Amino acid sequence: MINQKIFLVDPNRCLGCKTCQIACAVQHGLPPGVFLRKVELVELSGPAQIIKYYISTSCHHCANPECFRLCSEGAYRKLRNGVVVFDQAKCTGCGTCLGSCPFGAPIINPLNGKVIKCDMCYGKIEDHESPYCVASCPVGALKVIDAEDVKGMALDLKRRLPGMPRIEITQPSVRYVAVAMGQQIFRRRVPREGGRE
Amino acid sequence: MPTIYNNVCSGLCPASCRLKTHVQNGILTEVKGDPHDLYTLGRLCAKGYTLLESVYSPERVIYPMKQIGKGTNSWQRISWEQALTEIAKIIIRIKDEQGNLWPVCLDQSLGTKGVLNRSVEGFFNSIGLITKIIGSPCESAGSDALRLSYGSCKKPAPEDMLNSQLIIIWGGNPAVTSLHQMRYVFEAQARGAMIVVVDPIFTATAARSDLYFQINPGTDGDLALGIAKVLLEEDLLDRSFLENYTKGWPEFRSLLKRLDLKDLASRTGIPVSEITELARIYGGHKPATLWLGCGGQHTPTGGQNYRLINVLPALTGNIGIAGGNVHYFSKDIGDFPSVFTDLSATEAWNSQDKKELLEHRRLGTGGVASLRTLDPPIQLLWVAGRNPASQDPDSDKVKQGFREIPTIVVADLFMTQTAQFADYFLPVTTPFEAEDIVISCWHYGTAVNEKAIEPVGECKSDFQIIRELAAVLNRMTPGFSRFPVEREAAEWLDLEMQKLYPLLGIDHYLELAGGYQRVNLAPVPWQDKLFLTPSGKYEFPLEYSKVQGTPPFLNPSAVPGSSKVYPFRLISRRSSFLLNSQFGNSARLKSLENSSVILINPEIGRLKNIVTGDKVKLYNQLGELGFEAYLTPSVPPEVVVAYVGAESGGDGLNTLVPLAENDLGDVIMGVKGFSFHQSYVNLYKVIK
Repeated sequence: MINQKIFLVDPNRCLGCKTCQIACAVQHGLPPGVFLRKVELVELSGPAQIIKYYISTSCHHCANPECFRLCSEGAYRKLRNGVVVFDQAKCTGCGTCLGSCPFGAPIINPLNGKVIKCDMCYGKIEDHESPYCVASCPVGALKVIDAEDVKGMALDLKRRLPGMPRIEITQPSVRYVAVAMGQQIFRRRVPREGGRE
Repeated sequence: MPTIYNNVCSGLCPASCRLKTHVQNGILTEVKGDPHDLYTLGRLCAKGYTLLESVYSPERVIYPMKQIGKGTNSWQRISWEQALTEIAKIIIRIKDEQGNLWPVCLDQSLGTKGVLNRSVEGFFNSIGLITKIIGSPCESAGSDALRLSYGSCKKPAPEDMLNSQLIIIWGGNPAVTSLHQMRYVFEAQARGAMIVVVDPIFTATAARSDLYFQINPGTDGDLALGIAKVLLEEDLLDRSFLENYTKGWPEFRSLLKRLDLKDLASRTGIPVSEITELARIYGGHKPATLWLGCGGQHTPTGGQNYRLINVLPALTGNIGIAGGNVHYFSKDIGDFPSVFTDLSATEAWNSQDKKELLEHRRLGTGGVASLRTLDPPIQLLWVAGRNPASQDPDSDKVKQGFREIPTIVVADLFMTQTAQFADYFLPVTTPFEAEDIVISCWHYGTAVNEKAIEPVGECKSDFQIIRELAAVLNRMTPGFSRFPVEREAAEWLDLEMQKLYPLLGIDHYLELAGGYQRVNLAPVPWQDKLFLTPSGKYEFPLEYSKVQGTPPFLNPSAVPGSSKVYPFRLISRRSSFLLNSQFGNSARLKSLENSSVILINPEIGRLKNIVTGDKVKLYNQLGELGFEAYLTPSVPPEVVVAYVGAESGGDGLNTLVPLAENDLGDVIMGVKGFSFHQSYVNLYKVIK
């Protein structure tokens, strides 16, 4: 029985500072410009309100990973804790998985031409430590939790947030705290000279 | 096994993160946050994770260089001996010809916050009376506002925000500039505190607030007056505080009564009903704290505006109580005298020359362009820890000024925009290559930089450079410098820290390596209500007007500035991946974000047929700069927003910013600050 590890992302804390993104890249020894995690800005303009938040995304370690299904070399494995790991020794660099992942998680490492992707720093998880991304967040916006803990949490957790594409076929192992936007008082238009708005 | 050293990030940032540095075979192998740092909990920022790369960056200049012809990019590697001998000869020649050293100018700032940095100014003091560029392009007008109101610039400890029921973040974007403090903001929010943000831009910080007010840029004083008027009208005042601990309240009250709330509201762009709501919120939550950023004071009346904001805690008695007060900057640490500034050249005081000098010639920051018009003009400019060609307003004039100065010495890590005009480039060390101490101006954490590795190439610390220069000068002309060249860095640090040892609870600075240490200042300022103003009371801004000899000036935003030719107000904001112009050459950080992006309201995009990703040019009377458009409803239609430190085609954002003083800064620093946010531009789409 898999007790899936999942990323819990809190957009109400994320500052968009991208520390997680850089901490991951630097501590994995990736060359500049290559990232296994990305922080992106979502900004939606409503009639009375702007919905604005940052979201940190990496491999979602899906319950039904397409990468796993399509890799002809059997380079992907799903661990007992649900983490999807990748064996570079088996990789031929064919790129099938890059096309199959709806989230763009696997990428080619320009250093060796082989695929690389987030493995949730599973060695650290086994040692009861946090992945580099989680450990680096200055405000605790990113966590790893067990899927079975989700039900007991007081937080309002979502599978997707406003503005995100609806991609559920692979059952991504990620939950988001519901975005909370405060009240916004936008500046009243100042009449220009001559009284024209 | 690596050897682990203690270091501290020395950038001009409130966090001053403690670092654990791993070294193997004399090479840095890892730099990470120190988990025992109580302020950061060992978490760095994106820039912090690139510190190691910057040490070994191929772009770092690691040998002394001489440029054959300013701005020609024709550089020759020279020896330290040659560099320092040639520079020393020039200094001695100036003294011989001029009889004094006013033609020698020092422009130094806090490119690195190390305590030993002060030795550079100490050295120049030790050779005589020179020309110093003084003042601060940073927080000075706001600091003066606090100084005039309270008598001193103090702040609560960071964690005191947890005691607040209301946190108003005004004119700042700490989601970018103070990541670690946001941890306290979120924790306070989780405990039920309300977070309010006042900013012309719907920033990342504003997006996380409970209540956001989009204010017309530069009208902060009007909003503060509006809130104050409502507090008065609705009797949300702390009368006991006002009666016992303030000066000027009756006069200020009668001024408030005369003001028209509708008038104030129309200037701020925030309706009367919303100002009233904000006033009721501020008056109804106690303790309430204000967190002022630097942004709001970079306007023509920014200093006065910050004085008016500082009225609010006085009206409501939010001064001297836990969870109250104003979080801005603390000048307490800076009040401790430095052993370096005690240095002076005795002979300067007994000059036989007819042009007898009694003091250093002082010139306001940003004044580089005028250095050649002084009498006597500047012949040698020494730049350390600064990049005026990028960071001073009206950059083209600054660069023109550089071209006219016969000799420029730049001590830096990288070939900055300023260094491109240097005659001598002196390569300096990173925090990992020389011992030093850094004290945070925000949380007072004090940490030591152990020398983890030998300097890369032939780099030397600023301290070592001026120490060797002093020796060369004295070899050529005995007694030229009174800088004690025999004194080692460790001895200087020990001397410099003596006054702080009791407040740190240590006997020697090396104990700082043992764990997080903080200068023990009061976590809540003004608890005794003994203010350091002339009256000993909190002083309402009326006094300021009297001191300045001007009538009460309570129409702060009515300063001309808008322009029909240049319809957009250019506001600069901070990037998470730049520290002023620093970190701009990190390939990894550059891959995260295009720093030369300009934020434009979608309405303007429609009018000008501009979409996100389009190349646009921004221009005004000072010049033209290329940007990539990013359309966002987070900026108002009359405003365009670019990053501080943005560079485009070798020119910086300040090319488009006129050199304009704001209204305060001179009380503490001697010269006024800058109105960075008073630049007007137009823009057009570049057709390929």
